[in-house]
Amino acid sequence: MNKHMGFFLVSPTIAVMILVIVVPLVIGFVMSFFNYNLLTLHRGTPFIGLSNYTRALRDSNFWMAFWNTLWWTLSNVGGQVLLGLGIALLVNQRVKGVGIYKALILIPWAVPSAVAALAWMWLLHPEFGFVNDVAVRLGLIGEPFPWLGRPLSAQVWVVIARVWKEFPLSALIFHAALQTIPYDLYEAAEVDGAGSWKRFWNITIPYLRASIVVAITLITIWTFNSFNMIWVMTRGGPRGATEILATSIYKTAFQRYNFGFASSQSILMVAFLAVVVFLYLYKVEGKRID
Amino acid sequence: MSLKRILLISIVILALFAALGAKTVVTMWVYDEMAASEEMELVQAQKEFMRLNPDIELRIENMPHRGLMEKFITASLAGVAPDIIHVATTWAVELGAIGTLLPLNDYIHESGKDEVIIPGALESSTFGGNIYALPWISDATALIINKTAFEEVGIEYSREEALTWDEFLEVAEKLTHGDQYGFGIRSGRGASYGWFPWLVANEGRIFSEDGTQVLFNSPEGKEAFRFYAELYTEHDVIPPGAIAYDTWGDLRNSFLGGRVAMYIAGDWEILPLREANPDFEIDVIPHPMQVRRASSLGGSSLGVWSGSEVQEAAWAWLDFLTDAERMGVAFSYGRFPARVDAADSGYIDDPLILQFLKELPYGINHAGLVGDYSRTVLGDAFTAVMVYGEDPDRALDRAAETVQEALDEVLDQ
Amino acid sequence: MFSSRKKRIKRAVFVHTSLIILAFVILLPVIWMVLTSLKPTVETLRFPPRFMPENPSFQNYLAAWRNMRLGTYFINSLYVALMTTLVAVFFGCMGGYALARFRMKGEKLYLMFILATRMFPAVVFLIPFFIVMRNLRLIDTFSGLIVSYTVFSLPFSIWLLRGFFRNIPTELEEAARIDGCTRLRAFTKIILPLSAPGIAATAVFCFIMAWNEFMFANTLIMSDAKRMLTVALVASIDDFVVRWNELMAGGMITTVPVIVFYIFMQKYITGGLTEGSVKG
Repeated sequence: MNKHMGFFLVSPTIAVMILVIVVPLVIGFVMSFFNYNLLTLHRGTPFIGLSNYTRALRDSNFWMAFWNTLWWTLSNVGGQVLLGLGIALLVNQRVKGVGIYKALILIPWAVPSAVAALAWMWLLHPEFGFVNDVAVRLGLIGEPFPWLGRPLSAQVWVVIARVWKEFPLSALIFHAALQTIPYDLYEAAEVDGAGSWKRFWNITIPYLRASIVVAITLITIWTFNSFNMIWVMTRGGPRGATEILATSIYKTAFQRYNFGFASSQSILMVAFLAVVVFLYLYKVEGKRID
Repeated sequence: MSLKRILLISIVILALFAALGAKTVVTMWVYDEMAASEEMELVQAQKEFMRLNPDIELRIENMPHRGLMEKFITASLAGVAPDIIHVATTWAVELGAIGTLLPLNDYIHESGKDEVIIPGALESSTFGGNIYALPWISDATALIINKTAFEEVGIEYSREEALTWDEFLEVAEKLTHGDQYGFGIRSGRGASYGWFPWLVANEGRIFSEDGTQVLFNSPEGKEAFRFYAELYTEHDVIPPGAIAYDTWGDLRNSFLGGRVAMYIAGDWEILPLREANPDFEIDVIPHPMQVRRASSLGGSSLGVWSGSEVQEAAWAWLDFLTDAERMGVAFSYGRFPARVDAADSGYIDDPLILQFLKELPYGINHAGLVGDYSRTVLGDAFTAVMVYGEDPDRALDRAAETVQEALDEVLDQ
Repeated sequence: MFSSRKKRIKRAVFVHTSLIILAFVILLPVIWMVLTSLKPTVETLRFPPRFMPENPSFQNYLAAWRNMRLGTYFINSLYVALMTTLVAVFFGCMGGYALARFRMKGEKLYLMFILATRMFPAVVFLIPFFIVMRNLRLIDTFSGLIVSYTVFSLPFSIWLLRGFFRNIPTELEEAARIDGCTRLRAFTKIILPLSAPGIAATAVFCFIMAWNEFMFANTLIMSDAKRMLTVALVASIDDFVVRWNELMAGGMITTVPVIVFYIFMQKYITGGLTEGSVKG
């Protein structure tokens, strides 16, 4: 009886999820073997085997997007984890009145990513931006610099913008983990004469280890998949310097209308990511579900 | 027998009611916020049209210009495109070639509009004998200058004579001092749009006459490309920030902020310039020339979606909107109707707008089957030279190769 | 004793100063956004720029609401986000409750599946979605968008709610059922009120997800009348006119509702997060 009830309750969601997640993925997969171009639909969509894949793997733009995605992900993980950890540690100090910062520091996370991207564009404006104003006043640069117009600086600033937007997530994760550390441990260690570095390494880090693994994997996956910030800020420019797989696939599909080719790139992107997702699900979440 | 009759009669009555009740709905996308408020002339014309054609309900939606072409193509392929789309003059050929726009030849011919529309504008909407859009507004670009900046360094300028490239460079260099630079351009795709007149002024061409060959990397083209890029890379008369001037707004703001003293744009700039700062002193002088004079012929046209089920009604509105009586609509936006009788219509008394009008005869058509893509590719070439310091000749050759490939793919050559 | 107190004060000063500096740096983009939204156009075009507005006014907010038609887009976003929340929370309760209370075959696989769906790149879904929606004639409709958003928030909603339901002791429910309640009655009378905060947190998450979304809204909606708020803001950086002051005012209009939600729900958000993505 109970068993049936459970299935009855779960079945609609299962049905919906299969319909709208599995079916589209299968469609996408199948499409990647066809010359499915919206502009030549009237000429039909012939089966072309692996051509889309070989084309992608031979395409220097695809590989540039791949490497950009890798750097984009790594630097985001580094930035978000370090900033998140630092802030979590500060907020966790037993000092009066720290609570207020918790709310303030959450704010970037509440800003919709499209708005955040616009705010950063304005901050980095080549003429009237605040960043240029400060940099000129401090004498760092002689005159305003087009931050998003130069490849290296564009790459750096999109990362900064996204770290700014997303670090509260890891700060929250670490904050929650820090709360589970019994305070007596620190006191006992202090009595034993352990310095603050030693306490950090021997107590805090071991307690945080699991959360750090979780944060790193989740940020890896979400950054790898992210699209909005880069799309709004640079559209992948200048000349592909900030092009990541997500923006490249979007362009192939909705600006060049080649859905087949875009699908093959999507499948490759999922394949790259699958390794991380699989490890995460198996090693981290699998244990928890039990 | 009688039952059949009753049935028949009721069907006829129902059909009559349906015909009376159901209005033909025509939807239209416009850009530039031309229908943003009730007082705007386009909305007034819409009301008048609906009053004269009570069976037609016309709905106008404002769309952003940026990305509109892509939006229209995806909407068209998804079967949800509007019946009428307002396109930049250069888009019509491309949209037509992929089958999203209806050829309007018969409509245009029957209505006699082919007699009154500026021939150059009609020509840039034509490919393979098909006219894919009805030109509505025409514009040509000219040099917009900061009058005060000119007076400061004591440069005399002529509103009639075009500066040659060397003279232009000299003026730009004189205007470059302190925080101010002589000249401003848009980056990327905008740079290619701005470059085309320089190419043609040097006797170069974008595409061959029949539209099948890319020609912009001819020796004349290379010379023009180098000159234009070196304004930035060698002569430093363009501010470093220009490689991030993504929109006309960026360039205009930089002009108003005193960062650049001259830029090349069309008559559409005048209204927003005055709105942003009424005290700012500007003037308009001819587009710089070389072997011959040239300016970018632009403007916008109106196309009918090939999937539209109300093509007759859609055309009726286009015909109405481009009539001589509706020339005031375009003028009210500070724009110029694409009609041969517009210049003498007495609507314009704005001396600055008149300056742009003088450029119309030198306007060049830069539409092409892969025109939009060619602007992207050439924009990348400019970025390659200006940002990455690549050799201009090489960058231009590579761009030509890429565009030719795309062209071959479209033409199935 | 004395030295430890001195040490404590020293530490408090250090923590507060570093947090104040950090908070200022972190909030700077938002501060710059607020200040710009109060400046008249001439002041935004001043070179070099000035930090504080000289003649601050709320004019830009009015202009954004009216001229940029943010009023319409605001209502569109509100409608889509609320509908998404309703559907996702309803099915989330069903699925979450079933997974919390019933032992089923393949449960683990299903949970894995739910998690996995959150890890696929959205752009990978977008392309086949476009084709499916096109065939269902759902392009340029709110329904198409609501379906898409539900798909993305449902897994998370199930996951969160399962966690909340599991924390409610089974005994409570069993006692009610011994008293003659049906399972549905027991659910509505006992489980729902007890998990109200959890449901509220889930609802807020679904709402914010839909409110903030950009890529699907940008691709699946074509016409101006149905445009979402985030898309409209980005689209207002058009080729011809960019009014940064009005744009920043629009950004504030879009962000403030979310911030208000966050401040009110802060406790549950932290809880929800740790439930959903940390503790499992």
